[in-house]
Amino acid sequence: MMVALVVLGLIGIVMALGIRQIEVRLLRWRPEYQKR
Amino acid sequence: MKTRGRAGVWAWRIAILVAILVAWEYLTGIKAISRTPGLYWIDPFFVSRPSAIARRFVFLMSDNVRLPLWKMALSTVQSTLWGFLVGISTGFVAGLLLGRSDRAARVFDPFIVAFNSLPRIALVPLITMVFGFGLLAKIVLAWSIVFFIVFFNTFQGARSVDADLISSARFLGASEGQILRTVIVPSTLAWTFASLTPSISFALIGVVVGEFIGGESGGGLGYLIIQSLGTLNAGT
Repeated sequence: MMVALVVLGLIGIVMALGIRQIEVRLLRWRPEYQKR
Repeated sequence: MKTRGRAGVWAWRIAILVAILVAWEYLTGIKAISRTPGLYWIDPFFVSRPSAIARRFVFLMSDNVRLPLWKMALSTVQSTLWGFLVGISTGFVAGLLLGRSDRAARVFDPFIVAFNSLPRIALVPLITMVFGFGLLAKIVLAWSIVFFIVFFNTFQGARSVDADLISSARFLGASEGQILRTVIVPSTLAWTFASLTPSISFALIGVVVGEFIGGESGGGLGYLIIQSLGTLNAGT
């Protein structure tokens, strides 16, 4: 069970970070999110 | 300076992780009160220790087991990504359609609220009965969660499009299709993007809950957890 929980935790972290990167990149084209 | 600051943050993170692992390894199995039977600082029966978990990890990754760990993890990831993709695409379309149509929003409102109020875990047996024990049932369960997160965000985004922008576009001669493509969808997308991070976490929750009941044929990490419960092998 602990092995499954550790692997699930790692998958969750990797997926959340990946999607957050995609989200940041997708939002970048909007003027209010662009770096000045 | 910025790089140094970032390196410092990483150093702290790694130090905390190492401290937790070392404490976990050495406190496991040490009795809190020496004469009291079964009273440990960390009970090895329930949480094991990092070295034992690492050994078990290597064993489960090998071909000595019926379904290796990587195949189980792959099944979970695959179902999560499919549920996520189908959920965001259908949630976005439904949110956009209902967000731009007052009449449709009023008609569908009670149905959406009713379905969203249903605890998804209560639907697991029904979804498993309808879609079987394979990948599809898990995808449907993940979809049923992701859909509503994306739907409500997109719906709100479609409602809050700047009316002046639409009027200006119309005044400049834009057709309804052009207004949708160049004003409404870009404005709404910012709201949809904001729902992506919680959606992937909830998709994973949906898939693992689905595997608790219907994971026999496809495996998955949720099935591994339930299997461990069945054999009281919680530690490793």
